[in-house]
Amino acid sequence: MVKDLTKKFKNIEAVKNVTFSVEKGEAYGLLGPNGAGKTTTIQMITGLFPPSSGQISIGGIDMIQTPKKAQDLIGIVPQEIALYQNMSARENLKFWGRMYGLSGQLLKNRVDEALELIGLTARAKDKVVTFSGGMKRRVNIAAAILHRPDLLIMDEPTVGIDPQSRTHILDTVRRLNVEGMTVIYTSHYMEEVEYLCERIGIMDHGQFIAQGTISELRESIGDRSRILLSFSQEHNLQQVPVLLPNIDDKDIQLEEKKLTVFHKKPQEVLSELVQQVTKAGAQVKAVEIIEPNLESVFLHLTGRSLRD
Amino acid sequence: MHKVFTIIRLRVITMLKSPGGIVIMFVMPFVFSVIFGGISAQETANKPLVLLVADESELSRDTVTLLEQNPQYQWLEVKEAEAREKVKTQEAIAAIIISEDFASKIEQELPIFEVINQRQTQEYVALQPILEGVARTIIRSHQLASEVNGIELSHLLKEISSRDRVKLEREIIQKDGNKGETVSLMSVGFTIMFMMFGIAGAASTILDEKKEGTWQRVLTTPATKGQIMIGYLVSYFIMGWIQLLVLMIAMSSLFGAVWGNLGYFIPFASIVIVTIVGFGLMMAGLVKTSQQAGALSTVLIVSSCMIGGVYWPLDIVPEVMQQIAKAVPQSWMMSGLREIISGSLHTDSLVKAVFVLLGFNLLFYSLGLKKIRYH
Amino acid sequence: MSFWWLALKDMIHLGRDKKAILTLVFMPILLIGILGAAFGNMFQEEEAHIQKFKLGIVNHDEGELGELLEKELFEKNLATTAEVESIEHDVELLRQLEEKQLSIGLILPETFSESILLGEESSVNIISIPEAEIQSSIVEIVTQQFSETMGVELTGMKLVAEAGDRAGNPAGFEKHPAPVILGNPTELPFDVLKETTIEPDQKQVGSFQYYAAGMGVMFLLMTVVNGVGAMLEEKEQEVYRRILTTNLTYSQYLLGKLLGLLFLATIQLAIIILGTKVLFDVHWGESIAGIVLVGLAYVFSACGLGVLCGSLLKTEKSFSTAGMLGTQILAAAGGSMVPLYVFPEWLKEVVTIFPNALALQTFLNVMSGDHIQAVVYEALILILMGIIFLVMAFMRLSLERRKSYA
Repeated sequence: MVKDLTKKFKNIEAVKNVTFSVEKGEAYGLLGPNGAGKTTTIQMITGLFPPSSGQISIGGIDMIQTPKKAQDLIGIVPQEIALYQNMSARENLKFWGRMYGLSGQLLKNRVDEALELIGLTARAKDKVVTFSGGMKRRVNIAAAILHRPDLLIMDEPTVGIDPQSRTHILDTVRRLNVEGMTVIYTSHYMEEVEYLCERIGIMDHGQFIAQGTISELRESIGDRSRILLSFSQEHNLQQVPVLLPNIDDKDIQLEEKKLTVFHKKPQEVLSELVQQVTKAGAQVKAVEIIEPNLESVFLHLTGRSLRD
Repeated sequence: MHKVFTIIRLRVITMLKSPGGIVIMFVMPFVFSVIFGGISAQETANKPLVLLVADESELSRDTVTLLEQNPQYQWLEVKEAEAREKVKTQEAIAAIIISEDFASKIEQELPIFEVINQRQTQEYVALQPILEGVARTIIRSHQLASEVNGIELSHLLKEISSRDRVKLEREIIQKDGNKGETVSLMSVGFTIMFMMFGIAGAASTILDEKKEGTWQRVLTTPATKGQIMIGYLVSYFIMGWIQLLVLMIAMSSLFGAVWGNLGYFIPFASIVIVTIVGFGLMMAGLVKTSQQAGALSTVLIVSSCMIGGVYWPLDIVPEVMQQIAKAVPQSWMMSGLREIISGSLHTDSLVKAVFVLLGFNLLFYSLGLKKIRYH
Repeated sequence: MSFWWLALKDMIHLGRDKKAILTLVFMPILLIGILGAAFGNMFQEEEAHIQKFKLGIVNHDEGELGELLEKELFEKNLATTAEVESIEHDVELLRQLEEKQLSIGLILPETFSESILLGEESSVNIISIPEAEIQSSIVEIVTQQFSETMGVELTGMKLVAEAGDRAGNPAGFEKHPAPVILGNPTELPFDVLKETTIEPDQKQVGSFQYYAAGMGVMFLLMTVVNGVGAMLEEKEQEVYRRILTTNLTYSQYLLGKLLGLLFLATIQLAIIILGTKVLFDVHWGESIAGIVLVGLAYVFSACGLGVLCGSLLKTEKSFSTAGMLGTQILAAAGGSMVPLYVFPEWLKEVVTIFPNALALQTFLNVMSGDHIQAVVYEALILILMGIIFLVMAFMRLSLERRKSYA
């Protein structure tokens, strides 16, 4: 549970009054473009540094007052590959396991289990520096779950890796969640969040701009689809909203070579749209109809895409 | 506790496994010992060479004999051309040309010896009083011979050279009030300098870890900051001791170097190492990357070594500089080690050195630990 | 000619890095400052500045010479250097030494006078506290000189007596005549030594010059190591791989790096030379051209060596600490810190292949007055060394490239 979390860095409020809570066993997604403040929020939740103001409690334990107790319940998969490159996968896992208080036979068992889970038992003795990006990220995850934490926090765990590894990771996380681990998953890849999580918080510029289940969020944009018209040339489309009186100005977004229209029943307005636009002199190059998704939600809320 | 050990183990193993680690911990101390150990062995092993150029006259012969009596230098008679050549190539520190007719030179009050020299090093400066001494002998003898009937100069000189010299035994006072053999303490300074580079470098690994992300990750584990710091610092301490041990063993077995009473040496050396680790820690707190740390600590180490009397003895610098030397830890480290290795073990000096070093420790650690944060 | 741009890029990079500029300019000045403070005054003084130390003398001598030594020589003549105290017993002397109330203790045996008279060996003990090595030497020299002077007198007396005996004239010399002391025995009636250098127009090199050159040479090595460290750091970054995909060939890359390094090192050397010259009047010899030539040649070979090491090592981490250490060891072995004679013979041989040793000796030669012609040979050797190093580096990098990018 996170309440009114604020963090200032040298007069810049990186995180402003963030409030959300995650139920046990839930998979919660934290979505937002780069620089939204996701990582900072995560860092505070994991106890790396205290917030300027606000409260954080993990399973009833106050993170700010008794950080070390709270940290015992958390497993963290950070954005960087925070592993010792010159040591083998097994050695790394043993180290991190020890740091969480595991030892002896129990440690050995857990390490074997984890290696099995991430599919790297065969490479356990090799130095991490020899692994591919995807493999490193897998070890990164393994290191976080050795002590069977109640809460698993993952910060952009799939950046820059091949699709195969990515699928593997997502499946692993899904499995863990099904088995009962609470997961907080941050990413700017909307597809992943949609796949894994039930409830989502969307951040931008350090604040939460929307929160809820996926269907709730979709409904917030009226469960509307997006009609995307791309043009071959730049065209002044200022008068288009006038030409489309049925549609709210709010639901139309103009860019140089793109026109986005939000509508519940896109097929109904499509032909008129194209007609009006062509009459205005623009040459339509492509038309796309996108089902309501998180990207749309974000776009609607901020006027920008998640990947900006 | 378990976590502390884990960290220690990790750090030490990482160091040993890293490519530069073995080099720094084992190879370099060994190379260092081989090169510098020879200095500490015996001072008499390498006496500076002085060349003599003299003719066959009896008086010249007598003079040569007189000079050769001095045991502090090696003396070799050569021809003039060769003498100049050898001085030029630094094989000899100087060449003395004994003038053929110094009898008349004395009467005319002209120089008796012509000294050919290029570099006014310390050994050369020490040569002068010896030459002057012999000159004095010759002049006085000459005076006696000319004033007194029945004394013939050559005869007199021969008599003089046939005398046994006074044997001067130089010793260092020991703790128990006895005297002990002098031990060369030149390599002590270099040892300290070596350790400063080696250990301070290790301490900057924290910066690398910050870059890698492993540092932050450790902070998010249940291990407390205290446990983490102790783990790191103890591992650096161990690495420092490994280096010193390699050094000590190499020097002892290769050159028979002595390290004094180990009961004193080990604790004091430990304090020295702890101080150096603190210095490294402080450095790590002041910069962002370990390369910067390397550059900054080089500046500080070299300049403080210069001020502290590692590269040249403090006796030859002005009073002011000698006082300033007290502001750097090196001078105190050397003072303490000198006491211990020579056997003097002067309590007052040792206690003072320990206290001052502890003071430095306080300074370094408070500055260093303050900067230990996630970032 | 794209390597010029590479060098330029490095320079711009450096120019923007305030910290680097600070160290670039600040360090040599700091170095010069410390050197000046330590040795600057020596320039005016003739002798080393030794603080007055406390000397305790236990005189067991049955004869009078011991007392003579004590009173005349130590108390009178060395009054500015030593504070003399007469002590009754050995035990007391040792105790005072132990507590550092004295710096040096001198014990004269019972047979002191007798041995000098008879020309026999006698044993004198000089005991010091650990940090008083120089003071101990002074006492040794004074005592030695005294016994020599006495020896001359007494031998003279003896011969005169013998001559007298032979002439049947037992002149009224007592058994132990009071020796005639030639005024102040530490003063000589005239200059007995004429110091010259090898060539007539050369000058002797003093301590300050020696250390200025020695430290300067060492310092340059450090600069090179730093520069190479930065080069390695770049190698580890993605930018390096990108550079490799451009038109730049390997040799061009090396050349570009080298150029940057050369430029840097030259600036540093210039600062050191000019700084010591202008601020402290350190004499770098008559031949500016000679200094410049040797300087550049040395910089070139040092950079070559640096690039070679950089190409051999994989990570920046392993290089920088080892590099600094190596620099110190090289510099010391090359004579920058203590004169070469303290090192064993074999080391002196080995060290000649290191550019810093050769450069130091050559600098010192120029300081003594060698002209440019005399140093051309050494300069060429240095340049040759540099070329060899670079070739080796090039071969090494090509090998590496073929291995990993093939």
